[in-house]
Amino acid sequence: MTEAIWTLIAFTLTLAILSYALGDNPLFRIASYLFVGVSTGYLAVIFINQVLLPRLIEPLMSDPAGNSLLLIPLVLSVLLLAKLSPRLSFLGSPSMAFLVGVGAAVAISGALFGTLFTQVRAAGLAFTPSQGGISNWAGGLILLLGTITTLAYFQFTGQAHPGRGILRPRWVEVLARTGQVFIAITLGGFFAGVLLTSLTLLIDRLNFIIQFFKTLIP
Amino acid sequence: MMEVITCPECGKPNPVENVRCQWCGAILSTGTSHAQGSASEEAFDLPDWLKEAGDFSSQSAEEREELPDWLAELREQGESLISAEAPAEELFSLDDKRAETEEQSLSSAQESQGEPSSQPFIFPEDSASESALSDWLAQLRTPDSAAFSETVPPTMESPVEEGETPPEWLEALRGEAPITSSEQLEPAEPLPEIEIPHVPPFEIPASSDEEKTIPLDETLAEAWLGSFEDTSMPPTQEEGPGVTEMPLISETESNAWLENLESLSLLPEEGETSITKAPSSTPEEAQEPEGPGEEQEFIPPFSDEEFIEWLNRLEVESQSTKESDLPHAPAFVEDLSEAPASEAQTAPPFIGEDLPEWLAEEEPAGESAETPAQMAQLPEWLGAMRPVEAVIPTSPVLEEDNHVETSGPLAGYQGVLPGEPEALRYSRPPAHAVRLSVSEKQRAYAALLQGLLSEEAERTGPAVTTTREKPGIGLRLAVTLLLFAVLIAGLLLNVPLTGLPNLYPSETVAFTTAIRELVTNAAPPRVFIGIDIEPGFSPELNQATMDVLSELMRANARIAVLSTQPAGAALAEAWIQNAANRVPDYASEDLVANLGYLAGDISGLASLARHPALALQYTFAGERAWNTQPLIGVNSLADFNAFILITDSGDRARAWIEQVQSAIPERPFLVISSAQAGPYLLPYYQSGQVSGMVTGMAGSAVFSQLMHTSGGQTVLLWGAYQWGIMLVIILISFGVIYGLLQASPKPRHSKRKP
Repeated sequence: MTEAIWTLIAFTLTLAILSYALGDNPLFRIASYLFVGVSTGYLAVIFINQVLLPRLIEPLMSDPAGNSLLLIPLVLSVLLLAKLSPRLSFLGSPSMAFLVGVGAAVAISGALFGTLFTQVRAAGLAFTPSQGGISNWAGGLILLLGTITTLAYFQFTGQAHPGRGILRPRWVEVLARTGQVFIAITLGGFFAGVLLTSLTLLIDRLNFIIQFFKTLIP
Repeated sequence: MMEVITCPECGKPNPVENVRCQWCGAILSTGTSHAQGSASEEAFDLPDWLKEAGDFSSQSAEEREELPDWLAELREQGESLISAEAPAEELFSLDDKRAETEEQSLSSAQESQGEPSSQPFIFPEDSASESALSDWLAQLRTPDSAAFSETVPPTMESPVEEGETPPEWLEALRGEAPITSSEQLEPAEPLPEIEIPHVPPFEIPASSDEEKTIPLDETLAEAWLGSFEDTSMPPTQEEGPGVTEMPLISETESNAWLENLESLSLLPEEGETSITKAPSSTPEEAQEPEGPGEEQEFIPPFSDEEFIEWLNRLEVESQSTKESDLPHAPAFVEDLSEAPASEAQTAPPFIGEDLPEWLAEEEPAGESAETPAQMAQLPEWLGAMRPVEAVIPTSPVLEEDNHVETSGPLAGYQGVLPGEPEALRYSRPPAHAVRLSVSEKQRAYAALLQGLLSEEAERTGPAVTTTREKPGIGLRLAVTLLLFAVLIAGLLLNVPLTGLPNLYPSETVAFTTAIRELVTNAAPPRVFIGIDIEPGFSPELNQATMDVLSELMRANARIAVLSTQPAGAALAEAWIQNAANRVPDYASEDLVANLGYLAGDISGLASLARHPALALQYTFAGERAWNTQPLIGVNSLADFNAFILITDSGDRARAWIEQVQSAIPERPFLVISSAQAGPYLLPYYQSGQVSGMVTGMAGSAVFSQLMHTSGGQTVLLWGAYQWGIMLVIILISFGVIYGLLQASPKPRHSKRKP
């Protein structure tokens, strides 16, 4: 019974969201607001139950001397609340600085060693003798061409020509045009993936509705 | 030298023709002009009666009628007190300068009372007034009269300098009659501006009608008054103001007068008004009790010892006054434009036919007209009392003193004050150039900038604005309904266009291979599953996730689940529950540890990779994480056999790969992603960072085939999935064709020639 009620509620909210196909309407707004509210409340509960209490409050309460270092995040967290006030926002600057600094450091280090170096190495692996095969080399060449031309596309340094304005060198312009093709193909692939994901989700919701109606049918 | 008139107010020179002073606006008195280049002696304003006394005969009858009130009252008192036996006081000043200053102070008193100082002293025209005046003078001669009150200044210059013999009149005063008793004496009324040190007998303002003047001996009065005619008599109107010195009284006359004073009864009777008594200048006088009804002994006004002592004291006081911090400024400014008052201009205060003997003995003003009037020395004590700067108006500063007025009623006059200040003189504003001054350098810069802008404009050309019509609600609704219809038909009919895919992507094959290796291993694998997916995208990955979990549960794998999304922990709990339902023998409560939510985003992942004990402390249920079965014996992430990431975002998957995968390069890192993250993560698979990947519904279908599973929901949705993709392809194709047709140039219709 309970599950049937929740199913009915889910069905109603699904129809409310799908009603956006007809345009913005109150049903869609109600459903979206409800979703935002429930999500926010759930997030707050998760943060308190999963982060603050077990990781900050309870250790300080149980063993203040042994967990004295936890006072630092406690103070920084309290100071971060000062960002809510325009006058006292400067008090939250140290906390924000810590967050931004640590996040930037982690992100930069990961990007360098996790993406840049590995991807550059991988781009040259296709031409290693261990890989072998014409297909691998061809794939490597295409990959290399796509990489170079894509990078060339984002080069906006040019020379001023009287009467014609600022123009890139001709060879750079050719590479940029080719890179533009690769970029377009990549964007097309991204668009297709988003489309497929959305279509899959829509199919799932329609299937839910059908299943709901099937349950009503004796 | 040009004749000018000195203003009695400010002391500035004015042309003779002026009626009013050009500096302060005061009315200039006629007959006060004098030649410039007078002696460099201090000149001060004489009282009006002194100024006009020399020209008493030329005064009109009307002017004579305008007597000052105090004088009229004095006359009345004099008449009533002819027979009064009032004690007499010292009537004569010991210093000529003091007398002069008294005259000046009285003139200022008259001015403060509203009487113009330039007005001549008006005497009564009738003979009765003249007789009354004579009677008043006669009263002065009587020793009992107390017509004069004397206010001794607090400080006073000693008339006698050290080593010099005192004048005769001063010595004569030493034997004067004692002053009046102080019983009925009343303090003199202070003058408005200056405290009168010594008031001539005829200048005493009567404070009340009850005061009675003390008649004096006529001879003494005449002698005293006659002393005024000797030197520095009050100037006449013709001569102008000048400093006059107190007339010297001969010794015999002063002695006679003083002797008469001694015989006067100074003690007033009871009921009679007392005369004003000068403030005591000597300590002896100050000790005298004051009050009505008290009788005092007759004390000579001046005794030899007391006189000398008093004079000496005055010298000390005068010196102390000199040394005081009081602002010392002469009360009277020397007017260089004024000529010394000549004797012809000076005139005795009372000029009449019946001049008393003592007065007639002195030279009259007319006789002394030839002798120039000597400028009196202003006593220092008087100068210290009245700073000149506070009284004398400042003269306007004119740039051109020689400017002669050329227009207006004051044409021809020199030094005329401007009608309006210089600042208010309106003048035409200066004309400024409208053109902007530009230097050659600025012109070159402007030309260069203009050239750059023109080149840019020529290259880009005019901006082409294309208007696109927003698809109407009809088209949008039609597409929506068509799509719904196709999908519902596909779900209901479940008639796919094609079968399940036969071409398997390599990443999906690698993923399947890795899973098989895990489940076929002898020892139960320890798998770490990371969930970084929005709950809304879970249906796309639901099937693949269920299949993977089912396979792992069948292998009794110890599974640790961690979510970096707040709702991921609840989603993981649902998946675990559903997968466990497929494998009833699997003890999910013991072998699966839901580690809940990991905060910190990318920083949390870095912490997980480097310090998993700090990052994984509690489970989703609140238990200690490292006490659960999956984490027993785990010291680092390398202790896990495999990592499986379930994500719907390429960015978040990249963070997992960069932070976690780099810490365990030897362990397989498997990814179950949605179709939108597939192209983003494929390079990581090609670079070897990702061991295998299942992407979207197609990947789930392939995985199901490879794992030889039923496929579950994927198979049920496969038909609608294919029909939906086909519809999207058709719609996009139609849109492209329509766009190309719209963008293509319209063919020209050739005109058929007739």
